[in-house]
Amino acid sequence: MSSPAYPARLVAPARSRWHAHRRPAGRTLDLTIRHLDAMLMLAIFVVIAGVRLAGLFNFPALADDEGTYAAQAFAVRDGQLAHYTYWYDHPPLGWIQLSALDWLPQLLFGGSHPVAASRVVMVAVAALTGMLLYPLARRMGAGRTASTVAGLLMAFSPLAVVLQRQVYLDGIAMLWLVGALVLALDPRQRLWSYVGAGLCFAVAVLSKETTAVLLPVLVWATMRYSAPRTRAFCLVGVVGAFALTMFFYPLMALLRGEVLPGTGRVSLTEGVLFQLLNRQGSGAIWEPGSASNQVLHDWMFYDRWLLLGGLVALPVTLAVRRLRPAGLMLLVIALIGARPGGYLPTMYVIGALPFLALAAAVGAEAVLRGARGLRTRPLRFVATALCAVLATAGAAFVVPDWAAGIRTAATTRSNDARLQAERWMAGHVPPDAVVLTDDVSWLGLVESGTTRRENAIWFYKLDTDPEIKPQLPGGWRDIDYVLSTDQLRAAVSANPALVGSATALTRSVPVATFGSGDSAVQVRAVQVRRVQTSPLRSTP
Amino acid sequence: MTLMVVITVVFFVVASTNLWWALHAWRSPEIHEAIGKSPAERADRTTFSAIVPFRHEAESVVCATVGRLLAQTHSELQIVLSVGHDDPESCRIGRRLAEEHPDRIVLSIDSSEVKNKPKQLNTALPQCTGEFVTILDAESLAHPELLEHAARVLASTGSEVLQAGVQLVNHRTTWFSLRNCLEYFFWFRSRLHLHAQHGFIPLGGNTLFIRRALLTEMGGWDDRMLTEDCDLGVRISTRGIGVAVSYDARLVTREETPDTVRALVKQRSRWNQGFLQVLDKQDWRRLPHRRQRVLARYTLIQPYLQALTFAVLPFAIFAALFLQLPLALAMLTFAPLLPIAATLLFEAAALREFGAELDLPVGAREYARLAGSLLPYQAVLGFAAFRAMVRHRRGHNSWEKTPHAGNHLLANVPATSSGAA
Repeated sequence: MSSPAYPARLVAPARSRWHAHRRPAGRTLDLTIRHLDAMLMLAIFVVIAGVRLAGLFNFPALADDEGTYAAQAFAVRDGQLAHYTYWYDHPPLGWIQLSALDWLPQLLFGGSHPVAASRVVMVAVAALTGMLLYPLARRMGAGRTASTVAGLLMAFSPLAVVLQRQVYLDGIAMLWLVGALVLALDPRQRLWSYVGAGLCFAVAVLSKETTAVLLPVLVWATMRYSAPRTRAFCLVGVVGAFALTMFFYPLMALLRGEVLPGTGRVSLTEGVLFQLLNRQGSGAIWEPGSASNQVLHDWMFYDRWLLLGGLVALPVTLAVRRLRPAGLMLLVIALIGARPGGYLPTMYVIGALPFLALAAAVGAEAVLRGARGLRTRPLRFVATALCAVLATAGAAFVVPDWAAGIRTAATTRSNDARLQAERWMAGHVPPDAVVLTDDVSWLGLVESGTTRRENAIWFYKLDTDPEIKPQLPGGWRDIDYVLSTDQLRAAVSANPALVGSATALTRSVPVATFGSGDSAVQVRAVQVRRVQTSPLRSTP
Repeated sequence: MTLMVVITVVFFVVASTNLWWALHAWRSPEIHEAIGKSPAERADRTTFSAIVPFRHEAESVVCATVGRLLAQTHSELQIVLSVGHDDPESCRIGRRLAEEHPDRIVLSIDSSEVKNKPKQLNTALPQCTGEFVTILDAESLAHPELLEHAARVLASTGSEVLQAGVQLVNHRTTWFSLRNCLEYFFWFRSRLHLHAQHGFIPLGGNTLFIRRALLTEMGGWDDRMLTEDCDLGVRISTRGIGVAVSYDARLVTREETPDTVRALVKQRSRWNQGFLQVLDKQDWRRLPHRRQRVLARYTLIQPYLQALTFAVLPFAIFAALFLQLPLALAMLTFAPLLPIAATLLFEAAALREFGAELDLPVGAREYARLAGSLLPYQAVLGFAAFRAMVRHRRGHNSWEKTPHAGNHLLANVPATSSGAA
């Protein structure tokens, strides 16, 4: 019943060069092409998921942060924001999303470690992110091959395999960030897409707050790729949806009465200030021996090629107009990562991975197109041949390295000692014994019922959380066992504030040891003549 | 608790859908462009009869309106001045104008006991001779090319009904006039097109073009209705007749906002009450498609929803702030703020376009006023809706007329104007 004055069907014409590939095809042809796009995206999803699933629970070693986020996801299902006092270290939406999804793998892989089971969600997150690189590349005018290659580069890079397996908030944020950019580049320039982009970006920032630095790029992309007639509304759509969704974070703090610092309570202000100021700088990335440099070496150890390829392609993606959204994203991420004196954790690169893969793929395609478009035939031939030689030589280096990396990721067993230790404790340590542990085994011990929830103590909290004090008035003396992992030992020796944990380590003797060398996992019994009985142990 | 959730969800849904519909014109560049376009066909043959109903209007206001009509570039126009027999001053003005232009102007005097606009219109209808009848309120300033444009749209679409744009333009007169102007902008520039597309359209009372034969066949206007225009739109929609809607910023009919809050409340009460009458009359149930009926019902119950918001929102805010609600629920109660704040942001974007398209000055003061007047204006509208609901329930159906001071005559008038003012 459309009015005659109104075009009943608004078919979006190709509006500018950057999505000129949208060809006005006939119905059947259009359908098959759409199927082709969907099939390619599905293929990317399957490949990424497959590579990550093989050996997922065994490699890499379960990290303390993974334990924290998984435990917080469990806490969300119990109606809490965290298993200890939530102190605004990160906005909670990341693990709230995790909690909405990871009950399923917990159910399916009930026999495995709960933190490991949470990794299944991250596999899906990574696969979706890679899948979204396809429409993102297409919307920047890349061909089907390059768009598929972008996802495949991310699929096979060992660095991506390792880091995207782990339960880190950055991965969740990336999915939403890539989604936001896909929507902001909507070739039909619909207002709804821009509102969606703002919403996605807000979810990204509420999953991992550092994503906020990319807001200018998203706004720029909106300005650049929206239609002049509706641009103001598109901008309002992006920025408004972002800002209004973000508003719920401070609102939550307000409703909990935790906006401003006060005695005896945590606050949003302190949480934000901690992230901004108290994060110790890790030195310049190029300075040998600095922590940042070490992190860079860790990345290169797993895979130098994707880093190299993405960064080499960066100038190309900046120079070619249609590729600039990806180029600018990568540029900002790279500049912030490389700023001297900044805090550079290992997982930082997770934010760069999708854009490294994207830049490498579409950048290479742009160069190849440039070579093919050269004026004279001999020139064209030489340039194309040069590209082919370069690509073959590159592949000769990359493929063996990646194959080895993926094999390592699929076959190495890094968590056996921990699992054995937890299992041993189930048979030998009573559930009401007070156990000091890292956050991975905290969740393992609590969820398996090996240790009662209130008796499992995350080592980090022993010295930092005031809520622990009344529970353990004797500090380390009230600890019965320490489950000592390499991560716990490293963290305790690196942080002088963790006095209680350090003392518990030195004043204990191993009762069972699993694995060997640096990565050995020990169950240690604390040796202390008790001055008073812990209230925790005086249960009737 | 459950009630709280229900109310919150209702508020959120109402505010979101209204925002989304208001934004129809900006949903994509294609829609935006299609709405602003004027067809190229010429249609000199079409004849029009313009009914100008007025009652207790200042002579200058009426003369300006008639002057604009006489100056139309499309010459096939008969003007029917419609007045009431109990209003000697208006009769005098009408008689004088009809004598001055005996070939163009006819005077129609309505002698019914109780006066209202639809009765005057019905009385004037038999005196119309044009192929299309159009209604121009006494305070409307028609662009000289309006009829030419209308003839083209009607010819190119083959439509029997055309609603052309109306725009309040005195955005600096009172604290609320800016918001009032923007409301019209959103309505005629955007939302009305969505209604036309879905085949359910509450027409405006002004700058409406309708084939005389159709109007006669439908028995003219329903004189029991406070918003006879909305009712007419519903009845046309039930017949499955497509309504053309056009908005050309250059050609919009310029009008003025009410002068005082009291006048605004009266006007809004009447509109709301009119919507409720149309809702109760149930003609909309005969709309052919389910979607249309849903849209119709939802559009027509807006006064109830607005009244509900007005009555309940303060309590909801109080509850959210001072009751010890669970965190998730407390946060949920703030959800309706999202579309409300988003509306304000989009209004700012629309204000920019409003100023640019209508060539009106828009500065920092306007943006500040836009933000500042949001809550008081909504309160006034809420009160008017509440008042309308009460009057409707009690059966007070008298016509409360809005007086006009002629502020829009001073407002920026297009340079092409050649009408006598």
